[in-house]
Amino acid sequence: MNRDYDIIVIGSGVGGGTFVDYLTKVDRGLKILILEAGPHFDRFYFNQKEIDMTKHYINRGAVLSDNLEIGVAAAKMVGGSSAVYTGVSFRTPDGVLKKWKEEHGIDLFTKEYVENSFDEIEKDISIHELPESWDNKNNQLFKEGAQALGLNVKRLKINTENCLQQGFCNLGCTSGAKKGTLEVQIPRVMNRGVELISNAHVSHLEEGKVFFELKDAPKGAKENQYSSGKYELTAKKIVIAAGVLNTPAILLRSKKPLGLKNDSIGRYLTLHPAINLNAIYKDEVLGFKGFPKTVYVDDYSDSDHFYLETSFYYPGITSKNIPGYGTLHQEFMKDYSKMMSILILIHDQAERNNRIAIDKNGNTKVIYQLNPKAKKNLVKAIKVASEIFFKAGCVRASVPGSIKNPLSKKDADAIDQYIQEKHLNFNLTPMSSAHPQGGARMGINSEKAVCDLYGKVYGTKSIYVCDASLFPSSVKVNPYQTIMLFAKKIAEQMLKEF
Amino acid sequence: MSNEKLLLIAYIFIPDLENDESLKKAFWINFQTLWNDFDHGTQARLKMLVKVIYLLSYLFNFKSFHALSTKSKYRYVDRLFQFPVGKFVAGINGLRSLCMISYYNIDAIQKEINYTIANG
Repeated sequence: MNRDYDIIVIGSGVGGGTFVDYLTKVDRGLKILILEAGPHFDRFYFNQKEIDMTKHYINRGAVLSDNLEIGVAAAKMVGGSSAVYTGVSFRTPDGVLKKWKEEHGIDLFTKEYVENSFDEIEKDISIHELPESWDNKNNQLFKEGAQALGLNVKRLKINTENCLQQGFCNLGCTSGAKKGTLEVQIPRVMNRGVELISNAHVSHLEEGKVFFELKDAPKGAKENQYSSGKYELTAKKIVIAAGVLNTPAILLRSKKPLGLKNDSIGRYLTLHPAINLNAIYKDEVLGFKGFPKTVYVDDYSDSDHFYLETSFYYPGITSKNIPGYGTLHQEFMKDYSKMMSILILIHDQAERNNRIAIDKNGNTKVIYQLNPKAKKNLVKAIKVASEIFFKAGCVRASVPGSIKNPLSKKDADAIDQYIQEKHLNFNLTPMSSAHPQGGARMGINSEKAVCDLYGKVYGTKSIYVCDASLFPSSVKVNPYQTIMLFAKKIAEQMLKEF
Repeated sequence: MSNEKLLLIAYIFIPDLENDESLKKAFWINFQTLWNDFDHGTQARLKMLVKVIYLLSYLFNFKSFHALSTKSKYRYVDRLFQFPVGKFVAGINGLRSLCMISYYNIDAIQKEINYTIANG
C-alpha cells in the first residue's frame, strides 16, 4: 500500500462513507484511504440467521455500560451500522439545529443549506415513505391502538430501493435494497479510485500518522490485499469516523502522542436509550414478515421526551427482551407468531459524566447513567405503549417496570397501579441503544468542545472527526441523515484546503 | 464452563429444555457459539458467576444446587434475582439472556413458534 496519503478516513459507516463520497464527487486527484476495522462482506454473505449474523455487531450487539444498565449496538463491518440498521431516516429537527447554534455556536447550517442537502441526500439514497399497503399486521395494530388513544400516527421514511419486504434488515440486507454506505457510497468511491482496507484496527494517531494492525479476514469476507501485521501510514489529514464507541476511544488513546489536554474528550455521551416491549394479540401477527417499521408516534416528544416506533425482533433477541423466565416466559414465547412489538426511544440529555472512556488496555468503556427525569419519562412511555397494546386488541403484555407480568387485558384500566418507577430495575431489564452520539462534540468553545466547526480536533493540525461523536447533544431522532449532513459540510470545507 | 452445571441453571430459565436430549445438544452448540465470541474477561466473569450461584446455594439452602428440588431451585433463583447487588443481578440476567438466545435459535424451537427466515 501507499504509505503517504492526502486523507486517511477511519471508518466506512455513514460518516466516513458519506464524507469520502462528497470529497470525491469531483476528481481532484486526491489519494484517499479508508481504514475499516470490520470485515468486508457483500450481500451474498448475509444469511438471515440470528446467531450467525449478530456476531458482526461489536460484542454481539451489547457493548455494556459500566453499570450494566444499557447495551449499545453497533456493527463492525464495511458499511458500519448502516449495513444493519432498519433504514429509518429523519431530517434533523429544526429545534435541535437551533439549540446547537445558540448553545454551541454551530452556525454551519442555514435553512436553505439544510433543505437542499436533505433533498439531495434523500434522492440519492432513496429515502421515502413506504406505502400503506406495506404495513404488516404489527404496524397495522400499532396504528389502530395508537389512533384509538387519540395519538397522531406518522409514517417513517426509510432508505430502500426495490425492497423485497423480507424483514431481516438488522441482520444485513440480502437483496441490497437498503441504501447504506455498503451498497451506495463505498462502491461508488472505490470506483473513483479510493482505497479501502478492511480488518484494520487503528490503535492510535500522531499528527499526520495512523498506526493500525491489519488482522486476518474472517471466513466469508473479502480477502485482505496486504499481509496481516502492524502498519504506520502518513496523511496530510486524518478523519476519524469510527462511530461513537470508537472515535473518542481513538482520541483518548492518542491523547499523549497528540499532546491533547482537552478534558471533554469522550464526554457528553447520549445514547437515545430504547426499550422493546412485546404483547400477544388474539390472532397471528407474524411481525417478522414484511417491512418491520413503517409508523411512529411523536406526540410525547416535547412533553415527555420520547418517541414510540413499531419494531420487531428475531426470536433470540425477543426472548431476552421479555422479562422473567420459567414457565410463564416460555408460554409467552410460544405465542411468538401472535406478538405485537413496540420500541420506546427516550431523548436523553447530554451530561458531562456520561462518557466514553478507555480501560487500562485502551479498550472502550461506556459510562452512562440515565437521568432520573428521563427514567420517569421512560415509565410514562411504558404505560402509553401498554395502553396501545390493549387498545389494539392484545390479550397479554409483558412489560418492564410492572409488578405483575404478563399484564392481561383486564389489567388495562389499572396500568398506573402495576407499572411504577420503583419496579423498573435496569439490572433486570436493561435498556438498549442503537443511536450513540457525542463524545467529541463540536462547538466554538475550545474548552468545552472537542472539535471546531471544521470538525478539526482542537489542539491538532491534522486530526478531524466526522461521525455522530460531533453532536453536542441528542439529535432526538435516528441520527443517520444528520451524520450525512455533517459529513457533507466537513467534506466541502476540507476540499477548500486542497 | 461445565456443560452440566450450566444446564442445571438453564432448566430453571427454560423448563422445556430439561427433558429433551436433542434440545439440550442443540442448545449447547448455540451456547458455545456465543461463548466463543466473548473475550477472556467476559468468559472468566461468567464462569465465576456460575461458581458463585452454586456456592451461594450452600449458604442459603444448606445444600448444593444439584441436590435442590426443582421447586427449591426456582425459589433460590428468584431470590438471586432480588439480590441487593445490582451488578450481580445484571450478571444473572445476562446469563439468562444467553440461555434464551441459545434456546430460541434452535431450529426445532423456531419451527415450533412458526418462525421462518425469508431465504429459508
